[in-house]
Parts: sequence; C-alpha cells; structure tokens
Amino acid sequence: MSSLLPPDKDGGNRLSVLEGDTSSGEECRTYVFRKENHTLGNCLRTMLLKNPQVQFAGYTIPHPSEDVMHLRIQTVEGYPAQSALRKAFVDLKTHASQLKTKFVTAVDNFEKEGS
Amino acid sequence: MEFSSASVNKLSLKEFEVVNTSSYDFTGHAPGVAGNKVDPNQYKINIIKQEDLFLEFDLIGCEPSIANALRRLILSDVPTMAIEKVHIYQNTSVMQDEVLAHRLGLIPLKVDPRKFKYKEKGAPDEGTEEDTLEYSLKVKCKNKQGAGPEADSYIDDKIYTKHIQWIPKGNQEVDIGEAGPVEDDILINKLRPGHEMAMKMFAVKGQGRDHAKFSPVATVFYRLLPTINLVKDVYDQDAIRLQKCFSPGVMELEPTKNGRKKAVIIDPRDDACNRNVYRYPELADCVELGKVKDHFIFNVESTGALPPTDLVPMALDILIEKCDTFLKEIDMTNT
Repeated sequence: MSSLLPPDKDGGNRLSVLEGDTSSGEECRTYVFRKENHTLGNCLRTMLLKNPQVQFAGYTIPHPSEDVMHLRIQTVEGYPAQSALRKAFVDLKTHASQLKTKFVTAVDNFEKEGS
Repeated sequence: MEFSSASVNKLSLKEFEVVNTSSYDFTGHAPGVAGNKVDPNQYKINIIKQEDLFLEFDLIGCEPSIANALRRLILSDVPTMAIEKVHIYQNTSVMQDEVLAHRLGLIPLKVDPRKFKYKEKGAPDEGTEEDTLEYSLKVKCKNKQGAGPEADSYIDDKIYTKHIQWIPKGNQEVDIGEAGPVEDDILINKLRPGHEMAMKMFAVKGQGRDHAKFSPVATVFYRLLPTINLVKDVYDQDAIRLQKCFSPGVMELEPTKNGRKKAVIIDPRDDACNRNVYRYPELADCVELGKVKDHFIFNVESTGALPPTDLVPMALDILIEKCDTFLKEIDMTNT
C-alpha cells in the first residue's frame, strides 16, 4: 500500500527553527512548519498544553497565502522545548492510533449486530 | 458564574451569549489525565447509522482540536482519483472545451486511491499503469430514422457518464477490476444532430487541498450533543408552547394524575438548538439549554469512491504519518 501523503517535491526539511532564541537557552523556541496548517497546529498546541512542564504554547499562521505555520513553545527550566515538541507528537500519535482502533472495533460491532 | 462539576463538561446557551466554551486554553490546567499517561478508555465511539454512503457516529471524550483535525483531514487530505487532463480531439457541441473539461474533472470515480501512486510532476499525461487511469468519450448525435421534428427524435443527444469508457492499461484490469464513474446517470452535455465529441481523459490521484474534485466526501460535519434541563415543571398550554419551541421528538406531553399534561424531555439529541424558548419570557426560565463539550456527533457522506467507514481510519492514518515524518526529522537533527 503506498503512502497516503504525497511526496514532498520541494525537498529539504519540513521543520525548522526561527533564529534568535538560542542565546536564551533551550527552553524557548519557535518552530516553523512548512506545508502545515490548523489541522496539525491546533492538535499539537492541545497536546503541548496538557504537558505540565510547558509554560507557553501557541501556534499561528503568519499569512494565509504562504503554507507556513509557526509554533511557539516555552518550558520550565531544565526541560528543552524540543523535548516538549517531541512528546506532543508522540502523544498525538498515541491518541490517533487509539481513536482508529476504537473506530474500527465500533464498525465491526455495528456490522455484527446488523447481520 | 456558577461552577459545578456538571458545568465543566457543558457549555450554556443563554439568550444573547454562549458561556463556558473554552476548554482550558492555558497551561497548567489540564483536566482529568495527568500529562504523562494516555488513558486507553478515554475515547468512546458509537456508530449510530450506516447506510450506503452515509455514516453517523458519536465521538465521546475527544478534544475539539482532534475532532476538527479529523474533519479537516477527511475533507482535504484523504486522496481520491479524479480526471485531471483531457485531450480533446473533437468537440463541436455548444459547451466550450474548458467548461466540458471542468465538468469531467468533477465526476466521482469508483476507484480505491490506495492502489495508486501519486503522479510525479512533469510526467507525461498518458502516465503509467501505477499512477494514471485512462478514459475515452466518443459520441455523435444523429437523427432517429423516420422521425419528425418533435422531441425524443434524436439518438445520443444527452451525454451521461455511462457513455464514458474505461481503457485499462497494462495489468489494471486484473488488479483493479472496475474503474468507472460512481453514478451512470450524471448528465455531462447535451448535443443535437451533427454534434460530435471525441476525447481522452486521464485521471490521477490528488488531495482535496489541491482541488475540491479530489475530496472524497460530499461533506463531513460534526455538532455537539445538546442538553436540555427542565428547571420548573410546565403544564398544559405552557407545555404545548414549550414543546413547539424544540424540534419534533425532543419533548412530549405526559398526562399526570390530576388530568393535566406535563412537559417531559424525551431525547435532546435531535434538537436543532435554535433557542426558540427565549422568544417567550415566561418559558425562558423554565429550561436550561446547553451542549456537552466533548460529545461530537459526526456525519460523513462519501461521494462513492470509498465507503465512509474507510475514510475515518484513512484520515487518522494520515495524521499518524504526519507525526512520524516530523518525529523522524526531529530525531535526525538530534543525532
């Protein structure tokens, strides 16, 4: 089964960091996502806000004509912003997998009841 | 503002405002589960109705951002096959070439897009058997033999999708089976005697974010489960008026021991939340209207390419794939 997402024709990384934060330590970063929008941004923000070590999490789409999303993360001392981002992705993946299994089971049960 | 354990989950529909809508948009207040563990029984999904191309299901215990992401993914990220390039050899009909090509692109095709690859940029129109489907449309309108100038005296004057023929490439006939349009009776064009159409169409895999023709659903939407709370008992004439304020089936009148009729809530699920109660000031303080914040009633209507029960897992697969891509990039920059 081929991948559901189209290949990235422009090459390079989809994720990069906005400059200017490295001098203040590891705890604050603005991540720049190419080709992402509210679908992923709002989900990541929700997952980040559930993390008690995150002090600030917000996302914005700087201009609707450009397919770019910025995600700002500020964390407590000693906890790098990148770890918070990584954890948010892992949590989002877990939630999505759980939803998928629950849905598939629900469909199976519904079809069994019908027949 | 009242704080009670019930109000954590419910938003209130007042006469001029909706209150208690925010779901903890600030840090340090995550309700329920502590940040580290994901509760395996957090989500509940109930399938309510499943018919053909319609699917109605309940998603309970979900964050609004994830429910919205699911809706957005189904609408714009789940791929479909649709006609993209049309080579027109002959078109003497009244419809312009580009309008005709636009209409052909919008025709839903009954093909599983998972069996195909995305076409590379700059590849030739004809494509390979792995990324392109080829169709042909060849019609000529003629007069019926021996018929007068009344209506119904033409042959092939209305061109439907049943006139489109699939030309399988390579192994496609074995691997895919059938790849025609979902419906046979979609009107494409109207001709008169002497008009002729001859063209070849090439369908590719695409996403709804590129063009709406690639969206696999007619639409997908969700609403929150309404709640109605009767604060005071309502009888007789007032009860009849109260019943009319809500959608049919939500409220019924039950006879009491004294012979009066009392208003009783049967099932608030079907309520359209039009807040009609507030038009009658004397009834407005008898009910409390609200919605359950984490109970989403989803409605998915597929165009026919994929059954709606396949679309939801595909959308979640896409979300998982996105997470994997970015996790890989994060780990690569670390090492």
